[in-house]
Amino acid sequence: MLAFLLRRALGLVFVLFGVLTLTFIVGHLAPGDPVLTIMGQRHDPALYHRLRHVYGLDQPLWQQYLAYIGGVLHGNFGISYHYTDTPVSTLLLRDTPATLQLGIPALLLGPLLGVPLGILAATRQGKPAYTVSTGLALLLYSIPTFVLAPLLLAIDISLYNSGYPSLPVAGWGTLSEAVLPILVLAAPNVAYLARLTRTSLLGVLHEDYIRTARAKGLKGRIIIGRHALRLALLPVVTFLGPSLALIITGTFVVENIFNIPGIGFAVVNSIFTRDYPLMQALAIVLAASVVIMNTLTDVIYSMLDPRIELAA
Amino acid sequence: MTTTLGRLTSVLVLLAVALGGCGGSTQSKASGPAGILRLSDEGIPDLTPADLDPPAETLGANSIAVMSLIDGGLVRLDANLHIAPDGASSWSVGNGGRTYTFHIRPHLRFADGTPVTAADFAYSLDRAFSPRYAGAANAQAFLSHIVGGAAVTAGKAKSVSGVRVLGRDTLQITTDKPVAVFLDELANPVAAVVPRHLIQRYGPEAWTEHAVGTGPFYVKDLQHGKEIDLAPNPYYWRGKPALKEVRILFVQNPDTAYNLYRTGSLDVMGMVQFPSDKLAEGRKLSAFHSAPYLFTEYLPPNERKPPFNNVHVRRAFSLAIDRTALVNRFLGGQYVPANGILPPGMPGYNSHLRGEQFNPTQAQAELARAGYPGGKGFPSVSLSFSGGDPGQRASAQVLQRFWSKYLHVSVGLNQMEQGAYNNALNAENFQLAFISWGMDYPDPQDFLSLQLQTGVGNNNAGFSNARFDALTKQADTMVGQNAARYKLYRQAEQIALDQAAWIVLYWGRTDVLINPRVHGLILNGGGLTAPNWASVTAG
Repeated sequence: MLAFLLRRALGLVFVLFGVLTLTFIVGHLAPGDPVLTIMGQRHDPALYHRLRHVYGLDQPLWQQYLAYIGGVLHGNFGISYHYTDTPVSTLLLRDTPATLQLGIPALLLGPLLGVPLGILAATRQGKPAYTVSTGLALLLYSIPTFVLAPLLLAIDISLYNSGYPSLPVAGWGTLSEAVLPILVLAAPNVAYLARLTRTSLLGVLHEDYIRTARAKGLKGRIIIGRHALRLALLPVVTFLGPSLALIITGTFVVENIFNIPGIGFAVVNSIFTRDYPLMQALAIVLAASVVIMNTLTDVIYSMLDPRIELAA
Repeated sequence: MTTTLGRLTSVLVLLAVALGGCGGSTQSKASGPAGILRLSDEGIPDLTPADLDPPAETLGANSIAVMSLIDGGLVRLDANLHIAPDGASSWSVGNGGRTYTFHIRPHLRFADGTPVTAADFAYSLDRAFSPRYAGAANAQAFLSHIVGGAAVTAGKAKSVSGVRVLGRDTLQITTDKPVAVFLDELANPVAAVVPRHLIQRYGPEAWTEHAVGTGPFYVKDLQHGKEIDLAPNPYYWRGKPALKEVRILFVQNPDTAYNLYRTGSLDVMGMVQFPSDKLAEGRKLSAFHSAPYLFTEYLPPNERKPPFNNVHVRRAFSLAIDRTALVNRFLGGQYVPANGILPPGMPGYNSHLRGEQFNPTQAQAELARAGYPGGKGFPSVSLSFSGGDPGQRASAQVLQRFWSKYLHVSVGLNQMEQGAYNNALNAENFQLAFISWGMDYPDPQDFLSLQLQTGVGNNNAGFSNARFDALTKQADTMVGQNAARYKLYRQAEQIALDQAAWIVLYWGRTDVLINPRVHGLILNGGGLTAPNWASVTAG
């Protein structure tokens, strides 16, 4: 286990270095000039050159790259282009709490709602519970976040206008403000996990050992809970890593629609404002969290199924 | 299962549509916390300390909307966009229009009670010129005529030689030449008086989190990524504001601001941006208000290269545009079809201008005069635009159709990423492009001299006309003679239009929703404002 974790940590360093280099190259190759964005509608060549110098953009690309790598090794992600005079690390610390408060409940809702929904679908075939759970899962799975959010908002605003209790349409800080964004963010995960659990459980239920358990006279709940689910959940666990990636990309949309000052909001804005230092730092943080989550998934996987060895 | 699902989906969609339909017909309730005015600042995720530091201002409308509530200068623009006294109760101009002597109000104070003297204004201008703000585009542009400013920016002097404190309440400013718009420039927040004692206490950046000025409000609480709360200035020279608090929410997406308004969480939305897709619905509300905004959208035809170096080609392209159809049919009526450079509401605006009318026959005649009868032999040209701007994207497709239909020429569309687009404009590497120009201050000089004089930075089209230059340069220096100046600018504007220096498309509008419980707000050419913030009330 320790050797595995060490190897993964080493891999993480390479992944981060790759992400760092790629975002640097892509950011600087992309058309567009952060200085022109800063200058807005005014056109003044003298000012333009002065600003390029202030931000170090007049140096050769390789020098900028080395300076950047050196800074990151010392924990310095540079100064934001857009939020003038503000270190990127300050911005990261400022934006992270909202995303964690939004992302962690959404991440947990995935298995908490998705797995029971999947079990329901697998064990109540042909009954109304089956129709509703598979229908809901397919619906949520096929509606993208950027459609689901406005749809829920339209319903919410209509409730407000008709005098019914309604939820806030935007903002962050209170529990009621968190309900809609967390639901929207969790929806694709819930749907995918429900479908995955159902398929996987249906497969297991036809295995010989389940038939044996039935023949022994065991109760349905024990067969599902103690025997079938343990094996059926293996593919579900593999999805936990990708589900974090789904949550992260979901925050790009959800935080923008609900005006939540988090990481997803910052990513989108940093791209629009050509804020290279912030963009690069965000890419590194997000890449690191996905790699760490994948490692965690592998560890849980080996605990659930002893046949799987981590060293393999 | 497919049919069940289909049914489920249609029920959900129907529910949403039906409920959405109900929403359109009802009005937002006229309720909210008494004495608290809740506004949205659309299009930004946050305000940084620099965004609220007068000379550092780079965000434009987003930060000016907030700063104008906090900061005051020597002079201000009143509700009619005329220069009016602010921190200075009076002034005189001498030395051939180069020297201004301001008399500061004797009992002027910052919102924390600290007295404001002429020395504070001098300190603020020295600070605005300091090398720290060498990169601040607006401060550099608006204050550039003050003698000795450049030396401070270059680090060769500590204080601006053209700014002299003549007494506790007397300040003298000298300009390098007579500048007719100098007071307009001073009315910009970049020239506001800033509190030296707070800058020393909190530091050159962080002080704005506790900013006080001589304006109607001061910063009570800045919650990053969320909102800024302003409290009334008890020392405001026009009297303590009646409002208990002004709460300004940072809302990136204007659609979100609209939703917040419709669910009673905002009293005013649209101060900076109104969502174009909600305009038709918003117009039906009694809370909807709309007024011209001093803004012109135009195409600069690049006159440095053929075919647009030929005035007949430029005129043909302009005459072939049905601006009324463009604005009303394709852009949802968010703008006003333009037939001139100066927008209505601008001092010096000329309603009798000849130019920019839709006339396909004349357009074809002009193209024939240029040597391309029926569009034959016309070289391939392209219209560049920023893909990130939905208005430009829609307009580009419509214009392409107009030119094909009325001139029989094919114009390629060159969609670019915003940054690349800026690069292309900067490098004069385009044939036709879009430019939006919003006023810096209400004077024709801002739309004519600064845009079209030979060789000036914003003259992307490369327009050059000796007569235009002579007229505008003369008008630019006629201090205190606005009526005579406007006459000259009108002549110059007519020349620019006859030459089709710009192919103007449309003028701006400000669209806002104001809850009826709010009183005392108005719209003028600069957007949402109050004739006197001290008397604005909310519920």
